[in-house]
Amino acid sequence: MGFEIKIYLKNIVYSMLVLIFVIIILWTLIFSHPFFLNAYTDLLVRGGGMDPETVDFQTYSKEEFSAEFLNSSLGPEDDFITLFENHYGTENKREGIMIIAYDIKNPNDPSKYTFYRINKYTDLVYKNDRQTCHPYKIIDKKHYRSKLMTNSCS
Amino acid sequence: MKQKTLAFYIWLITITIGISTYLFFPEEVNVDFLKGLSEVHYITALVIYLLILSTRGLTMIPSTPLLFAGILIFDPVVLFITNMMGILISSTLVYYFSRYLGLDTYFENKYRAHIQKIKTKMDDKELLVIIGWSFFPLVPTDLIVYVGSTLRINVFKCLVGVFVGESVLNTFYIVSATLLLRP
Repeated sequence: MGFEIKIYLKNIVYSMLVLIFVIIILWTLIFSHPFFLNAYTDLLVRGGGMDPETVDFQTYSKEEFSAEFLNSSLGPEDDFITLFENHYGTENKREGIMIIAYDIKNPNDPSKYTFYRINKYTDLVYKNDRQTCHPYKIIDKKHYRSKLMTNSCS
Repeated sequence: MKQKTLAFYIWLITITIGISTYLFFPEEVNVDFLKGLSEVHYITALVIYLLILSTRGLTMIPSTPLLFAGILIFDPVVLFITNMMGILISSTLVYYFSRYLGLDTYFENKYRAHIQKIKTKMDDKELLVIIGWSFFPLVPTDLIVYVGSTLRINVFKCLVGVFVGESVLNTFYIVSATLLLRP
């Protein structure tokens, strides 16, 4: 009995190690190439039941992003994060192990937000435009009555 | 016996509806209605989510779409715990439901030689097969639980295998989706 449990435990530990190794490879693959990242995000958006029309996820290299959105070219001495923050500010900034995240409100449309994720270790920047309004607006929290918002997000 | 036959046919119809809905109307398999509810009654929304996950196995609808939707609604750690609880409850239900229907006896009587062959080949590798199957995202985990129950693999072994495979995969989904999509 004790011997059997030992074998099970050994199997579990080895399997876990193999699976974690596979996940690390998958993770590296997804987060290092725009094609895989866009495909994976598309899967998440569709799988999560979100309307793909309300989410626009794009991946750029830091150089591309600077040229397209910051109106400057990124030189070897330039710090991308400083350039980014000078341009967009630091609204809802969160710093994680791998990614620095910003959630910035669209100045022209308050129902739209844009996530910016700057990958600290690769050359990638992720931009995700999304509509924040929910089709159901809660009008009475106590009795949980909701109203279906058909036309407006305000 | 009649009761079991009736249960078997109801189960077949449920599976057909479940799989057809998932394949042809994937947008209907979501928990979007919980978004609004979670803003006011977080715990209630969580309990409903757990109930849906727990009974899902009988319909063979995969848990992944529910997990993706849950990522946008619940806290990542709470979601992981709830999701794993739901998957384990669902697997237990599937395991014992398969026993109740007598699928093990049916296959054992009808395909005795084949079953013995599979059992001999899987000897000592059952746990690894269940772990690998549960981890692989393109196949429904519940199927291996049905098979495990039919082959009379120990319920504890089935649940441990499902837990190991699913927990690694779910951690990956939750962490990556939280990084990419959660505000």
